[in-house]
Amino acid sequence: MNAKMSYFALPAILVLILALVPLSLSDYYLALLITIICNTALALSWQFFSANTKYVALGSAAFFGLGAYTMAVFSESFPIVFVILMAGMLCFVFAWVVGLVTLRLRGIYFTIFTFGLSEFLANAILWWETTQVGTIGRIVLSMDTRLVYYYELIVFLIFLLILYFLRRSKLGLALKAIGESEDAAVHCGVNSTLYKTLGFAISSMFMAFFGAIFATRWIYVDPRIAFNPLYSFLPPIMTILGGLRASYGPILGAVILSSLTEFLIINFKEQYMVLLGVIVVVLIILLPNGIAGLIENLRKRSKK
Amino acid sequence: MLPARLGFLNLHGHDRGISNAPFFLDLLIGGFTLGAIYALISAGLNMQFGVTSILNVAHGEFLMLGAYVTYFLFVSFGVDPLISLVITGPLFFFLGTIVERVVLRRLFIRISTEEAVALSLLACFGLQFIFQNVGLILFGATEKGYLYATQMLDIGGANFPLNRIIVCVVSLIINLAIYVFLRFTQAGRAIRATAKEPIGAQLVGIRVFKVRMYAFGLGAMLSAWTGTLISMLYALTPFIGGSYTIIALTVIVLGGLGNFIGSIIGGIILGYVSYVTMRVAASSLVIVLFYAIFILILLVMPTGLSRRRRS
Repeated sequence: MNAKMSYFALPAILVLILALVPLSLSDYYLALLITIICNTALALSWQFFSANTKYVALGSAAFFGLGAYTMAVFSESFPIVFVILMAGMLCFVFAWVVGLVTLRLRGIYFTIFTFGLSEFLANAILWWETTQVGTIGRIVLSMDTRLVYYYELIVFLIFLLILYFLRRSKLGLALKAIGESEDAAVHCGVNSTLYKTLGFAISSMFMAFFGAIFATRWIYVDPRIAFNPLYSFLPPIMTILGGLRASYGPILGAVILSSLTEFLIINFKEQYMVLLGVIVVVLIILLPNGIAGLIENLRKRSKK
Repeated sequence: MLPARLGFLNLHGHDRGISNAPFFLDLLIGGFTLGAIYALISAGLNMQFGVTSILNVAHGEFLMLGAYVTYFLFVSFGVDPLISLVITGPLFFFLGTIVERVVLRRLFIRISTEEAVALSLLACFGLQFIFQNVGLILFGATEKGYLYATQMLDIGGANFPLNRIIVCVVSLIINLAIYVFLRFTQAGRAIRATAKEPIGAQLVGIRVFKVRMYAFGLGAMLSAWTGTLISMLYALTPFIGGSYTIIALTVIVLGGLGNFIGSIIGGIILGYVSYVTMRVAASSLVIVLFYAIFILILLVMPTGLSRRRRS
């Protein structure tokens, strides 16, 4: 098998495996797989904007939650696919507005602004529902685990395909150039505000897609559940753990950290958040370049 | 995986000692008290960010821990909260310096500053998780609180609970003390020099890494002191930290990043905004309003209240 064939064959085999596993896996492992794919997608979308431009976004939970809440509110009145698309569009517009306000400025304002974004949305929705609607929280239309898995897998594959082309598009190059040196990029004629806003909106839109799908795993959703700050924290951590620059970094990080989290929840129910925090802090200190950086170092050493 | 619920409960717990003052006077003094608290917690975060360029999102957790230490000192040993300031201050100064020395400094030595800022931010995120959940394990999720100085005080014909006045006065004194410290002492000058020009400070013989460590410790100390004061007024849960972090961040954006006087003025303004909102509307609206102000600042005056731009 030559190199070019394996380039296509490997992903094809992987997709085939992913498509067939539900036939043999138990519901528990399937649920774990759904979580892993969801986290992988979140980490990849985070990387697409933040790792490229070096504008650290801490608001994944806001977009993930907005997607989830859209699903919670509309799951009974519209078809699922339509709701997923609607959640994405809603987030795209919301992120566009956020980007327009904050991305013209230095990165630190953007980071501060996104940090409280999920809390802002949770409170705004809470206030709106208590004073105007009168009900807080929704029962989500429950779906079969296998069905959810296939919905998620299809969206995930489409997402990967779009991401592949986006990285090679003018937008992807522009984001990378902004990350290397924004001043230089602007001098070369890159409209940095436009591309930053567009990149941020697209990355947020993907988060909303997966938030909408993942909400069907929950039975009951209220703003406090949907806008869990954990989801702001996990995508950047997974990306850093895997490797900020490498395209496979987020995948590696998400698979490892999701499995680790699951293991900790089962074995250390009370202390798992503390342990997760400790592991994350230690990893940041020991492996600032992630696993990809480690692999790179080993490869360099073996060449010598 | 459905993670255990963590995060921010309502902003200020239950108000103990309700004032029966006329509405306007209540807004005037209540808002000022809240503003003085906001100024204090922002001063700590501002110092940490100004000197070390670490955006410490775990800032509010030091407040939470400080408040719990005060609570236990009061309940178990009957230590007056004002006296426990003497205990929480050095304790959290020490904790802050350890965190800087053990976790954060390594990042700034090994890699470029730009990346270190991003990584230290995420490390602080991890610290927030650790502190918040250690708090949850140690103290439980139920609200805790004690009654201190709830007798009414007569001001201008209106009655106010004494504890609110004490908190207001003490936070003003601490704010003034930081100002004097930064402005007139040798150590304060070293801190300001490091914040403004790290390389220049190094050239004139300031041990920059030592200053960074102490500045971070001072920030933690101020946060814990705010916690001590807050424990006199509101009930505690392990989740109160996060909302104070967001408040402090908004205040220092309003006041201008790294600007001390600006953050005091910003704190007072936001104190009034949130007190009036809580009294007139709902407490869940406070953060929504904060964001409205935040957006307004970013659009109208991106450098905050201060006129000069800091790099």
